[in-house]
Amino acid sequence: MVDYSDINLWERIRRNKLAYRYILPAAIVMAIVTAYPIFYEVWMAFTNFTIVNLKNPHPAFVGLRNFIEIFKNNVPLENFNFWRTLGFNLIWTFVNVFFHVTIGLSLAVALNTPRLAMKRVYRSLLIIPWAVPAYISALIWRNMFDTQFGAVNLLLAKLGMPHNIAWLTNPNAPIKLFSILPYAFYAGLITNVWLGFPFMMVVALGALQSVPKELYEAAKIDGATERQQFFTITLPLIRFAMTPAIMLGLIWTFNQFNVIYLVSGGGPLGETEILVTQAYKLINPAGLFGVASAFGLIVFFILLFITLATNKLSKATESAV
Amino acid sequence: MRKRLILVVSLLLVAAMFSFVFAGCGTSKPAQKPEEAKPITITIWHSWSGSELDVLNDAISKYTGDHSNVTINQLQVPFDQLKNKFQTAAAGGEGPDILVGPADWIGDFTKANLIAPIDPYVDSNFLSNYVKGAVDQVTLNGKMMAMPESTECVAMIYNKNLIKDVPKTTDDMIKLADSMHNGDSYGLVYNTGFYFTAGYFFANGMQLFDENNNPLVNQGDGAVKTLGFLKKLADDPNIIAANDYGKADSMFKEGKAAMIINGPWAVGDYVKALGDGNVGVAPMPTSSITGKPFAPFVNTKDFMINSNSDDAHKKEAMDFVKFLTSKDMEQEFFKKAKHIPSNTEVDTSSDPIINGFISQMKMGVSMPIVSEMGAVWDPMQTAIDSVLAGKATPQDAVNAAQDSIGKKIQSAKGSS
Repeated sequence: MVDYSDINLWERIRRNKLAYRYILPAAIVMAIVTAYPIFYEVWMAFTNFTIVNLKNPHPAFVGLRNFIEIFKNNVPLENFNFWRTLGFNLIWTFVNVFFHVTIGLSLAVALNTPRLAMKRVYRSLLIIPWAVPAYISALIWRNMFDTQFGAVNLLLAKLGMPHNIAWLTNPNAPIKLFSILPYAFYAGLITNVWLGFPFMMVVALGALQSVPKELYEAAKIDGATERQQFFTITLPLIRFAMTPAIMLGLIWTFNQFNVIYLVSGGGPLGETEILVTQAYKLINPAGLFGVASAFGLIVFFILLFITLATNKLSKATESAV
Repeated sequence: MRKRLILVVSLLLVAAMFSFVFAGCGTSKPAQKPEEAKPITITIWHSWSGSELDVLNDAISKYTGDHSNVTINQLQVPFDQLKNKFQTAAAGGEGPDILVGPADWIGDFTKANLIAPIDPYVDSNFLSNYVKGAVDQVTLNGKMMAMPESTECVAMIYNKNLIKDVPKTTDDMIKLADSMHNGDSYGLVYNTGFYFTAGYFFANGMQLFDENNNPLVNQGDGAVKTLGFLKKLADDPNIIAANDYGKADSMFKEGKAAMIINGPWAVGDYVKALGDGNVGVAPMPTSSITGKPFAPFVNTKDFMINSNSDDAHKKEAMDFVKFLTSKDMEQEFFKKAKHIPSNTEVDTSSDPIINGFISQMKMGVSMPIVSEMGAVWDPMQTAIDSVLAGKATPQDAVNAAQDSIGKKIQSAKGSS
């Protein structure tokens, strides 16, 4: 690397002219398809843009009204409650990622057992949920949660358990302690855990293979138990690979439109709505483009905050090692 | 030399990307003024499926066979997405030339100037062959905004192998359904969508609007009584009452549901699935609460013309629409898909299915097509859903719906 720190920006650009020429076409396209819509959205967020303005884009400037109405839940859309949706979204994200990581990691450790018979078969089987397109899995799960004919209730009936559960339409909470989580939350959770653990497993498996075997041998000689080996050797050494994967997982799950929209549709009565599905409904059916833009900006800042916070958190734990 | 090559290649790439980016923008208008034989492409968006789609495809191949310069592209869009998809596309200056949709979309579309009046293309002589009520429904502010294809309303559709005597009152219906439930088979699968249940709301005395189109749904106890009735259906373990069109539809086709509520558009497929003569249609039972008959929304399914289309496309599109609503084509839609024709020349005599719908229609309520109607659907659906889920009392749900409808109408007014 050449050190350019002592010369000015223009000189740096001049010296790398060819490189800039290479990226110019991509940069122009990005400016048109990405940057322009983003700035347009920011502008829309401060106007009362609705369906009639698509043809006649001269909406009135309304300042911060869209944001205030969102925070006050004063939006002409059924079951709109920003704070409940935000709280639900955070719970949804962390519970999901917790299960993704614990299940994925446990399976990875199990698969990493030396000389395990038929390892490849297990591995391919466990990756299948990830290989099937998410919306297909989500639609299959939706049907499996049908009250009268779904596989889940039929199985519960076979096991002699309560089985007339209206998974997707009963708005009450099965566990009284978590009163804002209806049955549909658990249906969505099961679906998304099924979809999400293979990714964590694959990442963990890759990381595990780079842990030197000698460390375990040395630990065994020193008399460390399996448990001690896991927490003092395995976990610290794979953490660097897992942290970015977990952060990705958090953002993906936070914006997991497919599962929520296709399994519960945000229902019953908007109780399992997450921010992105709510933003979608602000456009279709409500047609409130201005409010939806403001909503999108709010979601962006929430995600930015979460990313910065997790970044900071992972940096802090890094230096502690 | 090489540098120049790179420059040329990158310029070409940029040009290619630009043409790609802009390919989607703006209506593609023909470069020259189209004449008689100039090739022209007409696009039609609809939510027809099964037998209806077969008839449409037949019609397209027949029409393009006679008009070799015309290409017709049809696109099927799920019904619950169609309105929004058209709205977004048309408002952005694009969209199909022809849209097939129910009359209650006309108000919203007219207000946003997305559809064009069809008066220049039809005359009174032509219209004299069409049902007057249907033509009246698509006329807003004195302008004809769409061409009616068929008339529809919901009624009871039953499996004749399973039901001998159709119940006359809702109490009888519940009794019958209770006695029929056996394992996977149900006597009654009732769709609780507002469109399907509206007949009981009106039978029990609810009104939608006053003369200035202000909402009235919480006046009187019609809505409260109806929500109580729906709750009773939903709580009955022998009845499936859910806002799930697909489930009721497939259960009936499989013979697992003896009675369902649906419209004429579905009957063609039911006849195909269960066999001729096994599908019966009758008016829904009379409300046992008030003794009044089920009064469903009566509306037309219409062809609307996109206001973005240029004159040549509008003219050609209307020509195709006239072909679709001609006696021969409506006869096909009637025969194969059981559409109730808007064309009075179509021979519908001696068809018991159509007679079932027609006797139900006589008790119906013409669906308002003013734009305020668009504000009614979601609040009423939420009222139904929240009562069935036990989250609200009927009275609270109705009050919330009244509030919400008012708010939606206000916000729509504020933005125009």
